[in-house]
Amino acid sequence: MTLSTRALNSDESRVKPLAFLQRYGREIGLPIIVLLMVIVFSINSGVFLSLPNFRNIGVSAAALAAVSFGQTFTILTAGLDLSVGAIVALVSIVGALVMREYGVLAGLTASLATGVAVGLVNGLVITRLKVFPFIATLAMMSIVSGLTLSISGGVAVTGVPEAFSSLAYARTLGVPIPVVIAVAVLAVCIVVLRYTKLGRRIYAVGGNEEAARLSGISIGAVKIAAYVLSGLCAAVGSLILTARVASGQPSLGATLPLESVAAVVLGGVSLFGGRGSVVGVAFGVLFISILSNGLNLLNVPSYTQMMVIGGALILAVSLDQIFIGAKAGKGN
Amino acid sequence: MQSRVVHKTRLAMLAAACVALMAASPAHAADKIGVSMPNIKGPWFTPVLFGISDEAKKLGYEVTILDAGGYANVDKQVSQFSNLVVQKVSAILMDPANPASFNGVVREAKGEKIPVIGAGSPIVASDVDADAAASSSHCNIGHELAKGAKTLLPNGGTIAVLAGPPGAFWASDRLRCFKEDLAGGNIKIVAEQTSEQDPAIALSLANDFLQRFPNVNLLYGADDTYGVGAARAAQGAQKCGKVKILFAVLGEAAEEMMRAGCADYVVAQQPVVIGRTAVQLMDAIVKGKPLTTKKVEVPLIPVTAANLNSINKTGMQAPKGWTP
Repeated sequence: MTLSTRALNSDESRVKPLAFLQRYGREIGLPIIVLLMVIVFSINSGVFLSLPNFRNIGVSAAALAAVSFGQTFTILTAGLDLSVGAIVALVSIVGALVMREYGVLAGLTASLATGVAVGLVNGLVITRLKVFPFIATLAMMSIVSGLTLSISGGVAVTGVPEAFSSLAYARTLGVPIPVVIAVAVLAVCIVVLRYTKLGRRIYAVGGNEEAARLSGISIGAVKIAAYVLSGLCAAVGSLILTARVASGQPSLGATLPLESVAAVVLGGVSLFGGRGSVVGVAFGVLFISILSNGLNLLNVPSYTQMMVIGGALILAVSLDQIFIGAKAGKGN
Repeated sequence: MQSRVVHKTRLAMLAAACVALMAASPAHAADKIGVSMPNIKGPWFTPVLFGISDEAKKLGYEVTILDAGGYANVDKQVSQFSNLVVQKVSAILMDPANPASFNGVVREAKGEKIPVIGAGSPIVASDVDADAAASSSHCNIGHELAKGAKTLLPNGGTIAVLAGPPGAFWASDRLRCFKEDLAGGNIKIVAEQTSEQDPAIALSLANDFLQRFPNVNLLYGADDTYGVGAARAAQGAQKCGKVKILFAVLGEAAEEMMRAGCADYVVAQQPVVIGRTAVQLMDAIVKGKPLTTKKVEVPLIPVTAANLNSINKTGMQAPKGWTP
């Protein structure tokens, strides 16, 4: 072995934490932070690290998870869906009204169809009318909220069948049903994004829309699909919340637009599209839910919690920007 | 393709969390009570929370207050209530944003033998009884407001209604009973609108009413956030005394507007007394003492400029500067 080879091997055999962090930091950074939060809250609260509390976190996180997984599709296409909160409220009212009159199955069908319909309208407005996603979904948020309040008269719809509302408190093998539903949505989203043509096209459109167009991908169809999936996932999230509050609520999901975007960005999905994983978003949801739960247990007021979540979002986007800048520098 | 390093790291973390979880058990908070409110902003919640905190301190309890940040966040209040159950507090005092939403979690609390007491609400859930409650009946408030309307408009007239937050049962109950008493009479409601419980929004809504109905005789506010908004709108339009202002809850701003001649009739609740009474009921239940009555209805006090200086306000308002 020559001297230079020996030196090279010696260099390679040393741990390179900086290179490791640069390579894997985005993927493992958030899980590490989540674990650190678990440790910190466990030390400061006697009840944090308990099965009932973790079930509680799971149930509270389930709706946000479903909505965030849907939001992932739109953000991967370099878009955004601000109407998710309004979709949740509309689906809650429509679902409750239909369930009350025609039963659970009809209500579930109507709920999912409502989510898909709003998502479709979002997609068409963005692709056919060429309205910027931020504006299109912001306007849709206002339209759908008004529609919800009109249908409901501003009051809650009670009389939801017990068979539906009891699902929010039921468990299978000790796992709350809402958590099972959220995990099922996660599984479907992983399959769609990793193993289907649509998934690959979503990444392609978000990564480089022009290149995708030149390679024959129908940009409009892909974007419409992304918003339809977002609407569908928001509908699932709404069903979870509606079961939990055992009524159709016209103001349900008000905080979900911000929280879902925060979860997606914290989970490593780039706001510029084309990069990120829905598994990372799951950790983003865990981060927000554990943070909220821990702060509640420590008696931190809700307004302070809003500031903390907003601050975390800014931090996540800043780090994302630094990462993109560092990668661009390396490429040059 | 997921790298093996990342995959193994994530698996290791999940395993560590599971081991820690299995070794854990929740602590018992023997002297801690939980308070779950839809909101802490506004002149209603501050005196209720003062009454609760002050009385709880005297009786030796530590108080955890969780607020959902608005009536719209009913799912958040449900989650916060669950948090209190997990903490195994001695009791939970609550005012539900919407009682229909709390049946499941209140049953969970009862399953853990945690008493649930209504503080400012006669009920905690639509299908599950409260262990006790201290409140003023919202329907009675509506009846008293109707008496106030008849007093202010003896010859009849028109009313525009600032109906309160959309979906808030306390506001809809008050308005329902208000309308029942006015039905068939010579006082007519010409406009009615719900809005978020925000002073600026209430002011804007009242201004809109005054623009749309320049001859309206009375503005009704569901509580003092809306009533003070209406009073300020009348003041801005220089219609104090010409347009009567009627609402519930006498906070500091409401008192100020009454002294300025811009608020005419207030059905005052006694939120401090409600808070204190709720804690006393809770203490009796926790210590196993018998209750003479499970539901305490705290009296209402109609207030006008004539009796404003003579009524005892210690049951209505928190000390100046106190915040939850």
